Amino acid sequence: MENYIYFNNAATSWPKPPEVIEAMKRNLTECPVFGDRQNIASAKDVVKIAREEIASLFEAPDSNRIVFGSNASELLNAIIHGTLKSGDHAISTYAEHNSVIRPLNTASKRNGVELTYVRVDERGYLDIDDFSKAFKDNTRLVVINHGSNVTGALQDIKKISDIAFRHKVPLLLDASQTAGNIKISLKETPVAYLVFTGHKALFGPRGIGGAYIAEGFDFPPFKQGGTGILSEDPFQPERIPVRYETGTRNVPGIVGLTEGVRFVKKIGISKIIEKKHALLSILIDAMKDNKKIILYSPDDLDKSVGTISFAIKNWLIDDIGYVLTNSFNIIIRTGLHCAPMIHEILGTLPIGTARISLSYFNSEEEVERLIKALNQISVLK
Amino acid sequence: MKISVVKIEVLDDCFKDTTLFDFIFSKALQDDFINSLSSLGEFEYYTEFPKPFYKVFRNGSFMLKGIKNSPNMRVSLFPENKVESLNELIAFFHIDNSLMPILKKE
Ligand SMILES: Cc1ncc(COP(=O)(O)O)c(C=O)c1O
Repeated sequence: MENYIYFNNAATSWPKPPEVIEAMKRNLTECPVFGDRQNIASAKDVVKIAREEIASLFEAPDSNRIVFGSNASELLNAIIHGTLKSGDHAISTYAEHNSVIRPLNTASKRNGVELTYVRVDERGYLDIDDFSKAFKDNTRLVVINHGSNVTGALQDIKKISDIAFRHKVPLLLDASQTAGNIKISLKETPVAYLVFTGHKALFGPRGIGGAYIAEGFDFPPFKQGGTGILSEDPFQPERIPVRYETGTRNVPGIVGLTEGVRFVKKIGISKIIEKKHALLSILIDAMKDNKKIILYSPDDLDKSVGTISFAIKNWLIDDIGYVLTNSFNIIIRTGLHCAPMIHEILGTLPIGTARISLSYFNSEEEVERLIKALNQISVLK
Repeated sequence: MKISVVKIEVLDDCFKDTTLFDFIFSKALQDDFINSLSSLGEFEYYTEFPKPFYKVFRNGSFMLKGIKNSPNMRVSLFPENKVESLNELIAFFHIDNSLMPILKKE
């Protein structure tokens, strides 16, 4: 396998901390007596431990309200379809991922749910006034992408949550891009639902995600089946978290995610941010110096999750990705990044943008190699 | 031995209506072969890159691109003239009939 420099961490992070790989290996090697609904006395419940680690990362008041699923999309679907019914109105934004847009549009088509998508500006920020004006008497859910996976724009979640609270409308925060990348405190900013994915900045494997469902915001279970407990009940148990965790869980994934979360805590979010900001400053300064590069991302790194979208004048977006990958062994991503609506605002439809997303594991040398490659590519046309 | 296409892989289509293939040749492509593509359309060849990149573009018809020393060539057929473009590429690269069903499926 060739050596690649990897800048596609907004899609999935790589490399993973060795602890993640070790823990998963151990879990798959050991006799499965621990943690998956087994009877053994004093079994350490690895799933319970995972809930506790995640709850403490998000400063969530009750770890039993962390539920696991196969990814963020699954939980976003569950909450959207579980809470919205015919005649309801939901508010979301142009910065959403298809994992929100498609379930919302499906709820609209199937059940006549009314939708308002509030526009964002050309950097990806939500206009708070427009957002405030979108509420109606029948508004029952607000869905917000915390950090744009296209421009990196971080929404002001404190303000958004205050407004939603004032209107007594539950807020569903899609933290797929932000969990592990910035500090999220449910103590400081309570939300009804927080959805996270395990395989991005939380450094877990692909195929694991979850949600925090605040007390008072339960919705009907979206799947019914075996839960390992309360088996005499002919219906899905009411008790959370089993209410939402049907069938055999992805325990190796959960164990890997636990170690990913522990890694984030061990390094510390502020250290992670500090390192990424230092690298991003070098990169953004160099990209701004290059007059052929068009940046679609915010300048203020404190208001960014650290993802950058760009184009190079006279180059097709797809060719930028092809050349970086195949000629320079540098992995970035090109296209719409599953978030088509924001490209309407950026003016980048139908081809999208080129996107760079760093992780804690990237180095200054790698960033310098990327800058050199971008400069070399851009001067040729 | 003459270079020939030995396999054609149909790729997932990112853009509606554009058909995407990988042509896999019998040998890694070198300068002579790559330069001969210039007769097909607008030709760009960036030899200064760590792995040189070539691209051939014919407006409304097709785009070919790839890397020197690789046997793979990415082929995009634009919706306007798919059949004609395909026939032209089949003739140009002397693509064997046995590979045709894969192409025709698209
Ligand atoms: C903002 C956002 N929401 C949701 C998702 C979906 O995450 P998952 O692949 O875990 O379902 C992604 C993943 O790319 C994302 O960036």
